[in-house]
Order: sequence, then structure tokens, then C-alpha cells
Amino acid sequence: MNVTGATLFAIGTVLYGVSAYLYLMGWLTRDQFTRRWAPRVLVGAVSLYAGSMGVRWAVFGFPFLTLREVLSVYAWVLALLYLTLEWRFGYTIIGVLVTPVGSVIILVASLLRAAQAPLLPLLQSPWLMAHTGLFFAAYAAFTLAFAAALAYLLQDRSLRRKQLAWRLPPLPEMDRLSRWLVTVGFLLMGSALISGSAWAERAWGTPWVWQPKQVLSLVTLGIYGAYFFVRHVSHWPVRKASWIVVIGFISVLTTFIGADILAPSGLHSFLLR
Amino acid sequence: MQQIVLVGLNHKVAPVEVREKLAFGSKDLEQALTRFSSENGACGAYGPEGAILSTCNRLEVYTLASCLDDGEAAVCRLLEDCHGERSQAFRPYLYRFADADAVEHLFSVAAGLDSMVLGEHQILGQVTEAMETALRENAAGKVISALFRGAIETGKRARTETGISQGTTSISHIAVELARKIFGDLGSCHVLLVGAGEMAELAAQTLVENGAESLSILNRTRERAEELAKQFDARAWGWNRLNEALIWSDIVITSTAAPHAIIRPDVVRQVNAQRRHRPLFLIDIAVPRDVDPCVDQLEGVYLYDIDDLEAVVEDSLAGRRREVPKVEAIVRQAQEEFMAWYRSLGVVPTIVDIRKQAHTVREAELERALRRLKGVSDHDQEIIQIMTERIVNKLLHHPTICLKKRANCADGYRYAEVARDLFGVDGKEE
Repeated sequence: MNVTGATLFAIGTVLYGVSAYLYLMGWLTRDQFTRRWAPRVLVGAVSLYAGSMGVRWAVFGFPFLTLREVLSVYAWVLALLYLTLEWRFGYTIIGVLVTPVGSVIILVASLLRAAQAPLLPLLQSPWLMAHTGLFFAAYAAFTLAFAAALAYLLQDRSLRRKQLAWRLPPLPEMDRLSRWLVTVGFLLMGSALISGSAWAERAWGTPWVWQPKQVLSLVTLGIYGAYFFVRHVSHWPVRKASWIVVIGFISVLTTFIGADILAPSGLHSFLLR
Repeated sequence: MQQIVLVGLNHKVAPVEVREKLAFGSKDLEQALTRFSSENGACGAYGPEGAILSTCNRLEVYTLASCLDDGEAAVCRLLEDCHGERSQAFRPYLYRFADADAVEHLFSVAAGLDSMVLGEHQILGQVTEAMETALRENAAGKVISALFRGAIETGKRARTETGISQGTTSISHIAVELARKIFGDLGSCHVLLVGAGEMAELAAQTLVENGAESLSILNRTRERAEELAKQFDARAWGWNRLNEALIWSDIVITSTAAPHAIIRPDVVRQVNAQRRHRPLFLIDIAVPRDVDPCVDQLEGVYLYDIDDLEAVVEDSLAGRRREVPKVEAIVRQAQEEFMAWYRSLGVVPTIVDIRKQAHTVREAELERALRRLKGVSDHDQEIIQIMTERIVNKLLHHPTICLKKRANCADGYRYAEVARDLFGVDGKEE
């Protein structure tokens, strides 16, 4: 693997971890300096990682196929989407919940083997970028929606137990954020599935082959569909509906990583490459 | 060099009978402060500079004096003159601090460490006001105004960098905070006040002041409800329309004298169905309680009784107490910075005199040399002149830095005296 790319990746990983630490400490101690620097360090991590990807792209072509790349791209898109969110709305609690997850994932990724061989000829297509890119964005949106739902549930619990957690944002704001992110994730994942079938139609002559990953994506989409139903049609209380977002996230994880463990073969698998 | 002197008393050392006798109204305050301002360069009657911090819990006079005893005597004279009290009546209660201790005291006060409710915000505003009044009356000069600016700065720092003002310590503000947690923006919240009572009315009013959309009042006697409704510009409900009022409201404050619960789970369940699980926030201030505690178990209902609210107050205070060491560290650091600045003021006249003397010598020698040199071009003259300047500056550089640094010790003034002696600068320190 290219040395520049590896160095950028390693420094990016360290910065990601540092930013997670800063988010956590800034939230606990309210130290202004720490709170100001947490997003800046994360921006640094994101840019370094973008650089390392660029280098790898130049060397290998399309770079995210082994588990190492896939996990780190996920952590990268997550950080990018989160930063947009913070810049736009400023809920750092989401950062506190999400950056540790992202940094653990990127740490795991950095311990795995880097890509050794170029892509299969079948996969060398512009469709790959659209298809996988949409999925990563959808996963990141669902992760953030999960964090917002979690913040909601924690706030609700502390209000009920009368142990006031002043550092959590108001309930309706977390609810609105979570609902918005689920909508975004749902649309992205829907487009990802459609782009996948369109590509399969061209490459294999059939739009759908019932691979485990495809089925699980449908299940995930169904769970989030159920969330919309209970929110807008059955008018469930938000607390109950938030649990569906939590279940949806477990389903996302299963789709993303579990599918490879359940059925470690086929074009959707990246574990064995 | 003059000392910064503080003489004063607060709620910890003096009973209210003493404090109220010494408190300043705004008119008296201005009058007292004018006695500090020096006209035509003469020293004011009580001291060259001064400021008075007068709140319901404390009275503190900050001034400059040659020693602590002089300062105390001046302040006692001021209090006697302004209030017509004999100083024996209040003198035993006074505390007095000089220099670093006085600075540290004011900074702690501004940070809320000395307040009755730890970390409260009001004191910072009062310190600011004391400074502004003193500036307006020309009582605060360079030192006192810098001292107060430092205090305000420290107070702000303590509040943003530590949790000393975190949490809420009054029942009505806790109601507001909780409502914000539950509803986000209060702009679409309807408040319902069931029964009446000072604390409940205050809580309802605070909610409205903080943006709640409307207030309505439900009372057992229709007349009382209407009377209160008129007072608060609210809507009145009849007692028999409790269910309807509950459907319509988001925040309900109950405070009736009823001997048993008036809001029972079956009522709330019934109401909830029609509210489509919009959250319902119940604040029960009454003893015995007006809301059945089982209501708490219902979806979308947040019930706080008086004990819950008191527990939140105690929680906030405990949290603030844990932050005290951090604030003390900030105060100490700020105090040291301020004292370094203040002590360096003491050597400034010495440095100015030494430099003035050196440059007088330089100019005289330069002129003499140039007179004796022949055929020196303008350009060369300039070079010679710059050279003399540089020699003087370089020679004086180290002593200047050293004096400023040494000034920051307790006996820093001795260095100034020695420097004056060594450089042969006339006269004593100004």
C-alpha cells in the first residue's frame, strides 16, 4: 500500500479518536476551549482521510471494497454528515454519541489488511460509485437518527426519573431531528436499492437475485417504513416510536456487516477480499 | 505606594438590622461617591479613588489608602457621614482586607462564591452597576475601575468555564427549564393554573414571561378565578370544566387546598386520548397533593410534585458546590494577574524618570559632539543620532524589564528606591 496514503490514514484515525475524546470531555466539563476544538479536530480527521482515499484512488482505482475500506468510508461519511448537522443545527450531543462509535470503527478498520488487488472487471463501472455511495450516506443518516432517538430516550428517562440531565437537548428537537434523518436515510436507501437493481439489470439481465444483503436491506427499509406509519397514521407516542428507530439501526448493522457473516460470498461481500 | 483597601460587611457577618441601616439608595450612593472624586487634582475627602457595592446582602467600599487602618478610618467616616450612624454601631461587624486579599474578595464576590445562593447571576450585574456608577461620579480612577473590570471578567469566566451557575435554584425557573426540556419552545404552550397560591402564581407568571402562549385559571370559586384572570390577563374556567381545560393545556400547575387528589389517572387517561399524546406537564405544588402519583405512569405525562422540585434545587446546589474549587483557582489566577499589573504601576514613575534623565544626557552630549565635528553630512549626522539612541535604549533595557518584574514581589518598592539611588534620579517616588 502506498506510504503517503497509509500515513494520512493513520493520522486521520488518531485525530478522529482525539475529537471523540474532546466531544466527550467538552460535554462533561463544559470547557469552552475543548468544545471549540472538538469539531475542528474532526474536520482535520475528515480532510486527512479524504486525502488518503484520494491517494488510494490514484493507485488502485475505486478504493472501497475490503472490510477495512468499507468501515473507514462509513466512519468518514458519518463524520462528514455529522459535521454538516452540527454546522447547521449545533446539537453537539449527537457528536458525543456518534464520534466514539466512528472512532472505534475506524480503529478496527485500521487494524485490518488494506486492499491488495484491483477490482473485478465486472465491478469496474460508474454504477458502483452511485450504488455504494448512496448506501454509505443512508447508513450514516440512520446512525445519526439513532443517536438523536437515543438522546430523546435518555432525556425522557431522566425527566421521568426526575434526575435532570440538563445537558441533553429538549425532547421535540431531538424528535424532529431523528424524524428528519430517518426520512433522509429512507430516501437515500431507497435510491440505493433502485440504483442497484438498475445496475443488476444491465450486468446480469435481472434486477433482483434474492441475496441475503438485498433481503436485509428490504427488511431495514420496511422497519423505517413502519416508523413513518406509526408516527403519521397511528400517532404513537414519540417514546415508543423512537424504539423503532433503535431497532431500525440494529437492522442497518445487520445489513451492513452481518450479511457477510451470515452468507460470506457473492458480490455484496467484502469480508473475504 | 498606596494600598487597595476593602471595608465592608455581608449577610454572613452582619444581621439584617445592621445591613439595612448602611444600605445606600441610588441618590445617597451618588452623593457618597462624589466625595471620592478629586477636583483640581486634590485628593477626595475619603480617598483618591473609590467604589461602593451596595446590595441587599452586602455593603462593600473599595478605596485606596496608604495603609489598611487609614482606609478603614476613611470608610467609617464615610458611613457615619452618609447614614448618620455612630461607627460603634457597625464597626464590630466590618471586615477589612488590603491588596491581594481585597482583590481576591471582590473577584470571588463577582464569581458568586460569596452569595447566599451559590453562583447566582444577579451579583455580576450589581458589580457592573457599582463600577458604572463610580465611573459616572468620577470616583473610580485607573486602579479601581481596572479592579472592577477584572472582577466582571472573572465573574463571566467562572460562569462560562465552570458549572458554578449551572442548574436552577428557584421553583419557578425550574418549571420553565423543565417545560423547555419537554416542549422545546414555550411559544405554543398553554398554561393552566388550578387553584391559587403565591408559589403557583409566581410559577405561572414566570412561564408566561418566558414565552408561554397563554394562561388560564381554574378555581373552585368562579369569582376568585375571574379575579385572578383579570390580574394576569388570563382566561377563567369553571370548576366543572376541568377535563376540558386539561385537554386544552400543556402545562398544568395545581395548588388547591383539596384534601384529596383532584386529577386522577382515569381523568388523565381520558384526556390523553383526545390530546393525541401531546406531552402533558403537571406541576403539583399542593400539600396534600392534587395529582394522584399514579398519573406519572401514563404515557406522555410528566408529573413533578413539590418534593421533586425541591430535590432539583438541592441537586443544582450540590452540583454548584462541587465546582467551587475550580472557580477558586480561576479567582486566584485572576487576582495574581491583577496584582502583577498593580505592583508594576508602582515602578512606572521610576522608569519614566530614569529614561528622561538618560535622554537629557544623550541629547546634550550629542549636540556637543556635533558642534565639534566638521564636515559631517546630514546622512552621517542621522547615523550618529540613531547610534546614541540605541546605546541608551540598550543600556536601559535590562534594568527596565528587571524593575517591572521585581515590582511583582511584596517588597518590590525597595527595588525602585535602589534604582533611583543608583541612577541618581532626584526626589522620592511620586
